[in-house]
Amino acid sequence: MLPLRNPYRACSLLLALGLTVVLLYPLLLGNRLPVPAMLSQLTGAHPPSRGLSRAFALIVRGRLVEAQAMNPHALRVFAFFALQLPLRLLAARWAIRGRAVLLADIALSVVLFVLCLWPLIVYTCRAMASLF
Amino acid sequence: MSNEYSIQPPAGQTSGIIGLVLAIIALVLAFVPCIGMFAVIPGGIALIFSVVSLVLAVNRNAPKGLAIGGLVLTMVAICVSCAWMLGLVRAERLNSTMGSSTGSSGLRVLARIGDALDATGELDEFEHEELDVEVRTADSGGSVRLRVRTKGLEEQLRLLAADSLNVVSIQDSAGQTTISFKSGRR
Repeated sequence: MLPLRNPYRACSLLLALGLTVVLLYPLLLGNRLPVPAMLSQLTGAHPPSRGLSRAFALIVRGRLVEAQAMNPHALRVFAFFALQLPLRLLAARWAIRGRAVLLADIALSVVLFVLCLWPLIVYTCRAMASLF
Repeated sequence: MSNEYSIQPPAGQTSGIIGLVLAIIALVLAFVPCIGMFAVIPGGIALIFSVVSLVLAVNRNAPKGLAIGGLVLTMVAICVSCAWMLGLVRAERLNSTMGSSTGSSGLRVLARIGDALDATGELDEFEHEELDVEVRTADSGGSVRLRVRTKGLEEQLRLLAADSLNVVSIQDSAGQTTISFKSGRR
């Protein structure tokens, strides 16, 4: 049995725990989500993440059409977290197979992150560029 | 006779694991616009753990990969998060020092006339209904940056995207703000 202190396994399990919290908290809190829309309130902007928390709450309840209407990127972003959870568990299981698994995991995770959060990444980069 | 041996993790490994996990969480949060500024919290904690891990690893000649990975990711996350906070502070300062006027067209003035301003955004890449436009007043030569609703104006603005937009007149009546533009080369 691979010791828990194998760093790759430990990281994977801790991230899986975090992902479980991310996926469960909208289910538990419902519409009482504490995320403030400060960016919209201060600038009047409509960032691509606006309504994302509420959309997550709808997705975990199976109301996908409403979630899509709340935020058009919600399903895509949610997919990142939903896919990462089994990936983390698989990674923890396969950590013993060595460096190849680690590198493949890193590559796949980066690709998923970029693909699923692309609108948010682009918006963030543009916002950063406008500061300078 | 039992073989006794102790399996001790390399020095700094536990801190390194915690630092790396928090750094990954911070990095993901940093790229979500409304909550990016909060990424500084896990990022700060990750920074502490990663530094502790690195110091322990260096002192005891242990592997440093986890610590370095955590440090790199957390620095990126903290930079992005701090940039969000800076942007919000600037927006709040603009709103509090000069106020904002929003007409029924959704117009909001973001800067004073004469401020040094950046170029406009690119229309065909804009996903939302608002556009930052730099305009120069026709008489004083100063400039003001406006955020305008593009709905209904998109096609006209698209034609003018390559030029500066010279404000010919601004009329505000009955809650309706009308801005007339004239295209002109910079």
